[in-house]
Amino acid sequence: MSQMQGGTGQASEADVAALATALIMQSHGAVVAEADVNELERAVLALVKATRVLRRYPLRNSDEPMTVNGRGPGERT
Amino acid sequence: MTTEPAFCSVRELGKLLRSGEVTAVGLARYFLARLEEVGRPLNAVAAVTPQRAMDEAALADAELARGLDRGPLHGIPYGLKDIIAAPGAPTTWGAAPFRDQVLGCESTVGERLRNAGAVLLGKLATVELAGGMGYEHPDASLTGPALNPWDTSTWAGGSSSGPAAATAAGAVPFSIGSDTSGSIMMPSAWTGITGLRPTYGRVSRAGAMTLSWSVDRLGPMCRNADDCGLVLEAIAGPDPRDPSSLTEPYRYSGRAARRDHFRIGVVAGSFDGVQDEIRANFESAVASFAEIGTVDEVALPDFPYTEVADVIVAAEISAAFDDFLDSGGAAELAAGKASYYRLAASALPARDYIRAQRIRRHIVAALDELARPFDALVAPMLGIVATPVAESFTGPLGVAYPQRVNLASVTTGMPTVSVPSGLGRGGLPTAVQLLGARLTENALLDAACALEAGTGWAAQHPPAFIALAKAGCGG
Repeated sequence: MSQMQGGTGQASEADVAALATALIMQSHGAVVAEADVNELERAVLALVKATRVLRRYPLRNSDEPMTVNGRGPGERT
Repeated sequence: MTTEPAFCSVRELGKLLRSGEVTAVGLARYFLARLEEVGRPLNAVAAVTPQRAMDEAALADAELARGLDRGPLHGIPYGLKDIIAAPGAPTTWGAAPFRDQVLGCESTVGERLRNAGAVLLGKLATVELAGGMGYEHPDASLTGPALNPWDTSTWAGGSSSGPAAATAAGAVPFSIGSDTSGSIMMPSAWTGITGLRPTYGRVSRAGAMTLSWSVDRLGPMCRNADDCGLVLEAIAGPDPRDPSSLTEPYRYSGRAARRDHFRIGVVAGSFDGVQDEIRANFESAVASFAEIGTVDEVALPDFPYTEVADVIVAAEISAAFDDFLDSGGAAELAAGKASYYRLAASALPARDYIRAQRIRRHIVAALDELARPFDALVAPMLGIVATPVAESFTGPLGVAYPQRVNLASVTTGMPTVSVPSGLGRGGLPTAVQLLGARLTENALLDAACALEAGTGWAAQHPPAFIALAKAGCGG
């Protein structure tokens, strides 16, 4: 699923948020009041902005994620 | 009893018990009454467990009588934040949809405190779901907004509101809180108590509600740093019920293990924009450190701390509560609309969550390198004193936190202590946070004990509640 990235990241944050909100409404529309869709979209936009910041941070292919126990596979003593 | 125990430390209560001036049953009765008469009006109490308290206290007395002493917590009463299970008591997570929830299991912290001889008095209030769905007002709790004992027109902070208010008001000697993005630290600072957010994995979360698997921590909220060390030793250690728990054992080095030669790093820019009184109190604390060690300025490396924390926490909370969110249960929350922040994460791509975890590894390495040469990195805990209880706020209290330092600990799992630093606007408490490298709680607590000894602020208590104690309330 890549709706928050908008493909190569060229779509505006607002457009991506609107698209992601529409998709969330398709799956969760029953639990979001119509009057609150704007609230949801604001929340989505905040996350979209955060992911855009993360995408600008340079990583190497080999950079491994932290795991739940705070260490990487093979590092646990 | 001739000594007023309301504001005694764990060590002081232990002396009273072993001298025979008080009994564990007497202490349990006293603090149960304090919870009812002082804690409830502050909205700090979720439920009391009088039968369990009296049973555990009677056992503690009987054991002491036959020479079995389980250590510093033997016979000492305490409270658990109401996201932590205890058999026979409701565990509401502070939220209306879970108001009738009773979990049969014992938490690992509860089990370990029982084994240490401590006496559970009850469950203490929390912001609903430990604030995990987001909230914009202090009343987002099943028990109402927890009032700050220093000024009951202000908020005690969250989400460990009840533990903070009850401990500060002398209604419990200590309590156990939880912290995902500041829920031990912030209320500790606002109520003038000492709170410890241990290294991630130090304390098992088994039996506690999950918000964010790779971030959640449990820790002690106490009268002073020494008590935090005593409680941490009792609750720390590996636990097969919590895969995140660390294998490293923990032993508290003891009060005043060190008195000088501290190496302190002041986080550059951390006091920009804070209230004047908070800055002045922070500078006094730094001056106090300068008398017992070296003080250098350090710069936090430039990382997207906020975004990393936001994405990880949003994704994990959304996953932990996916059934709840899908069912529309959040509509019953006091802050129902705030839950859209978590619903939004249902469209968060997996690669962004993983990317945040990849950047996190760089943050952990860089912060460890920065902190390792020091006993503590220090900064003001919060930029403002407690806010009016009727006042709404937006976002995760962005105006209150020197966010980068707090989020450095949130993302890295490094231990942090909040230590009282004085009084600010309106006579409300201010605090300093001490941040240490992973697994360096003893150095942090040594530094915190030294700071407390230098300033005396940890021994200050809310005047109105001291008067109530002297008047015999709960006695």
